[in-house]
Amino acid sequence: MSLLNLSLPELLALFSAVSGLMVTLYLLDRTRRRYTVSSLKFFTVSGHAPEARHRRRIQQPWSLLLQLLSMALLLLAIAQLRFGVRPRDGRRHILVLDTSAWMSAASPQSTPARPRELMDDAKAAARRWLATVPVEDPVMLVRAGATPTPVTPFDTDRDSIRRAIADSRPGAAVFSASRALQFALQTAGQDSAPTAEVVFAGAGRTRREDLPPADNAPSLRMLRVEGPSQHCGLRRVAVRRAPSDPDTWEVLAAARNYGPAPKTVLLAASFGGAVVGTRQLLLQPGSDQTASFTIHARNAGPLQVQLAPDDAFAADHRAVLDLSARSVAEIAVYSDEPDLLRPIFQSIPDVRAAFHPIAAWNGSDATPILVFDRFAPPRPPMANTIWIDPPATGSPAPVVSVAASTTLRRWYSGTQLGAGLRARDVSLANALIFRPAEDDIVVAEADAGPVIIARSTPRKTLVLGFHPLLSDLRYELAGPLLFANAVRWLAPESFRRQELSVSSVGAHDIDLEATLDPASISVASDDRQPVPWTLDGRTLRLFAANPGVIRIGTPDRSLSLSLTLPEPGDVIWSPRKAVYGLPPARLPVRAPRELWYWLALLGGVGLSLEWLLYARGSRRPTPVLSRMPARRASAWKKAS
Amino acid sequence: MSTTPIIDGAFLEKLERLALRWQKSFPGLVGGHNMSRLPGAGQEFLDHRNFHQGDDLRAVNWRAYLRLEKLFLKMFQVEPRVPVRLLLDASASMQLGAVTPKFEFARTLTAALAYVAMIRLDSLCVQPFDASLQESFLCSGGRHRFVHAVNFLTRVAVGGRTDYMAIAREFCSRYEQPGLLIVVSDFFDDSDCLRPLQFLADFGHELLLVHVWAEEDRSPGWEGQLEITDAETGRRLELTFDRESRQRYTEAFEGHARALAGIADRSGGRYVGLSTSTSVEDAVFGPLVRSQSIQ
Repeated sequence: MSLLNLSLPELLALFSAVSGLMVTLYLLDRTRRRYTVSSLKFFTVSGHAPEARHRRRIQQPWSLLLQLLSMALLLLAIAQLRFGVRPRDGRRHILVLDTSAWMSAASPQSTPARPRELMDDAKAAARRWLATVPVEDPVMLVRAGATPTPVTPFDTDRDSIRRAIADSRPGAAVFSASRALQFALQTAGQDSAPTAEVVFAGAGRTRREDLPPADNAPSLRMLRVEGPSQHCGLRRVAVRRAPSDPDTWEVLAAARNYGPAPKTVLLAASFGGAVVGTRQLLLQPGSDQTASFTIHARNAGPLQVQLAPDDAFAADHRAVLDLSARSVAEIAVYSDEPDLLRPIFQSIPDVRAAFHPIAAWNGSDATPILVFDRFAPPRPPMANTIWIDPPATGSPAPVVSVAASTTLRRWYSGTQLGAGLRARDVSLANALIFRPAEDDIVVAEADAGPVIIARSTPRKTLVLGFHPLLSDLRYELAGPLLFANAVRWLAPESFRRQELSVSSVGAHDIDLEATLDPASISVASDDRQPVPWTLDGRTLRLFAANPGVIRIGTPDRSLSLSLTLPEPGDVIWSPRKAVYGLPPARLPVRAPRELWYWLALLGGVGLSLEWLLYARGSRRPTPVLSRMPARRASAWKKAS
Repeated sequence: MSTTPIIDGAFLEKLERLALRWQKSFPGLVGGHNMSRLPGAGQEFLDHRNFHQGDDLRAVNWRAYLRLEKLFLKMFQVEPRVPVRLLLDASASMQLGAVTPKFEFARTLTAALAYVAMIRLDSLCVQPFDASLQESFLCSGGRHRFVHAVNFLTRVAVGGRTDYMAIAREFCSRYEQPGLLIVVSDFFDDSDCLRPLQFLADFGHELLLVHVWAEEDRSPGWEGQLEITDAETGRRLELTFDRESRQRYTEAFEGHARALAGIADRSGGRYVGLSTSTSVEDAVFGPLVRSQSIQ
C-alpha cells in the first residue's frame, strides 16, 4: 500500500487541519441561534423548554463521524492510495526510429507475394523492444530523418507508443545520425532521472559527414535492421539551355554506387517518350560518375533520366523534369520606314518583330512591346513602348526644347538601359530635349539636356529624342546595343536563363551569377509559398525538409529545384560502445491497483448520506406556508 | 424622513371611487357622504309625522293638508359627517418584517384609508399609539388636506411597547363621540388585547380591525435551539423549536386571529387580516373590499 501524491505526514497534517475545521464548523452550526420576534406570546405555548445540554458537546455524533470519515476518504483519494508493489522510479527510454528514405528499400525478407520494407522490420524490432521495457518506464518516440522529430512525450502508455510506431512512414531525406543522437542526449539530460537509455531502431544508413563525432552516448542500444548492401542511384540531374543555341538543352546526370562492389549501370535519357541518349557507366564503390546529354527541342515536354537495372531501392532510379518551351519577346513596330529598323530587331535573339505602317495603327494592338517610329498615337497604349523621335506635341515625356544641332555627351552606363554603351560626341540634328520627372531614368544626355529617358510606371516606356539610325549613331556599336538593352529591360523574362535541377531534400547551396540585391531574388515553393533562405556573398542557401519543387528567380536566371530524389546515405552507423540487440526478457511487473476513484466515490456518498440524514431537514428554513394545512389556512382567511 | 413617497399617485386615483362603509348610524355634522337613519336636516325624505307646535312650517306637507285638512310634517334623513378614527400601531414590534416592515405596510394602508375618508368628506382623525396615544392628526373632509396627513404619517416615530388597555381608556376619554374606529396593528400585546377592544366596541365605536402580520409572525421558519428576544419588552426566551412547535405556534396565532375576528363580529364591526407579503393595493382591493369595509 502506498500513497502517490502525498506523504503520510502530509496526509495526516492535512486531515488534522480539515477535521479540526469540520468539528469547529459543526459546533458553530449547532450553537443556539438568536432571533428578535414581535412577541413571545405564542412561543411560550409552542416551543419546548431548552434541553439541559452543554452547547459544546457533540449532539449528533454519527453525523460528525460520517463527515470525518467521508473527508478522510476524499483526502486518501487526493493522495492517490494504491495497493500493490510500490514501483521504482522508472528509467527513461528514448526510442529513435529511422524514418529516412532508405527505409523504403525492400527488406531481405520481402517476397513478391508479401512485399516488405525495411521500415516494417524496424517497426517490428521497436515493438519487440517495447515489450521488454518495464511498465513503469516512460518511453519517448522520436522519428529521425534529416531532423529528429519527437512524436510522443515520455509516456508509460504503451498503446500510444505502439500506435505512434505503427503510424511511422519512410521520409525523403537521409538519416542524420549526429542530429538524432544529439537530440536524444539533450532530451535525456533534461532532468535528474537515472541515465536514460537511447534506443535506435532502423538501418542507420547515413552520410559520412552526419556520423556522430565520437561514441559519447553512455547508454545506447542499437536495434539495427539489415538492408540490401548493393545499390546504385541517381544523385543529381541538372538541365539548362545551351548558351550558344537557345533551342538546345544540356542535361547533366550524376549517379553513385553506394555498395561495396563495382557495378556497371545503364543511364538513359528520354524526351517526350523518345530516347535521346544512353550511357553505360562503370561505377566504383562509393564514387560518383556523371554523364551528359544534349537535347534539341523547341517545344515543351517531359525529360526522364533513368538508371538500370533496378535493385532493392528503386526510388532514386528515375528523375523526371518538365522542360518548357523557349520564351520569345513579341514586338510590333509601327514605322513607315521598316527597313531602317528591321536589321536591328532581327539581330536580337529571342525577339520576334512584326512591322506595320503607321496608318495601320488602330489602338487595339495587343502585342506586349510596341515601337513607334516618329509617330505618336492619339492615346497612350496599354503596353510597354519604345518611342523613337516622337512629335514634340505627342511625346510621352515633356519636351523642353528642340535642339537643332547638339552633341551626345554622356551615357548613364550604371542603368540597365545604358549598360555597355560607350559612344560619345555623337552629333545630333533636331534632337528633342526632355524634362525628366522624379522617377524617370535618364539614359543619355546631350549638351542641351536629356535626350533618352525611360519611365517604369504605369507601363515601361523608353523615349528617344532622336532617331538613332538617322544620326551618326548608326555607325556606332551603341546603336544596336541600345535597342538590345531596351528589349531586355522591357521583357526581362524572355532573356532569363532557364535551369532545372533534380536533387534531394535537405540543405542546398546555389551559386549565383553575381552579388545580387536580395530584393531582386525570389525563392518560393511550387504552391507559391515563400521558402526561407539566406545570402552569403554569391551563394544562396536554403533548407527544404519535404520533397517538392522550389523556384528561385534572379534578374538573369530562373532555377527550378525539384527535390524529389531520395538520398540513401553512404555509410552504416555502427557505434562501437553501443549494445546491440534486445535486452534480456524480464518478468512483467504488475501495475499497482488504482483506488482513488473508488475512494472519491465513497467520500461523496458519505457526504451525501450525512446531508440527507442530518442536514436537509434541520438546517434549512422550511417553507412554512406550503406546509400549512389547507383547511386551517382557508378558515383563517375567511375571517378577513 | 424618508424621501420616497409612502403612497403613489396612481394608487390614489384608483382610490377615488371608494368609500368607507359602516353599519351603525352615528350622529354628526351634516354634510357627509354616508346615509344614516337619523332624522334631521337632510335632502333625502325619511318619513311623515304629525305637526306639533313649534315645528318648522317649511317642513309641512301642504299638499297633504289640502287633501286631508291635517298638518303633517316631512322628516328628512341626516347625512352626517361621521368621525373616522384611524388607530395606527407604532410600537416596536411593528418594525419587524422580513419582506416589508409591518409599520411601513400599516402606514401606507393608513394613508390610503385616510384618503378614502377625506374624499368622502368624513371627519378624520389619525391617531398613532404605542403604550399611549401619541399626537394625532385631525381634519375634516377634502383631498387638499391629504398632503398634511401624509406629512404627519411620515413623522410618526416607531418604538415602545403596546398597552391596549391604557390606550382604550385614553381613547374613550379623549374621543367621546362614537364613530368608525379603524385599528391597524399587529395586535401583539403581552396582556390581553381582546378586552380593551371589546371595551371600545361597548363604548359605541364600530370596530374595523386590520390585523397586519409578517410571515414569520404567523409561522416562523426557524428550527433548533433558539434564543428569541421580544422586540417590545426585550425579554428573552431559550427554547427548542421544531416542526411540531411551529405547528402549535401557528395554531395559537390563528386562534388569536379568530378571537379578534369574533370581537369584531360580535360588536357589529369587521376584521381583516393582511400579510405584509402582499402589496397595499392588493390588500385594499382584495380583502378590504371583500369584507365590505370599503366599497
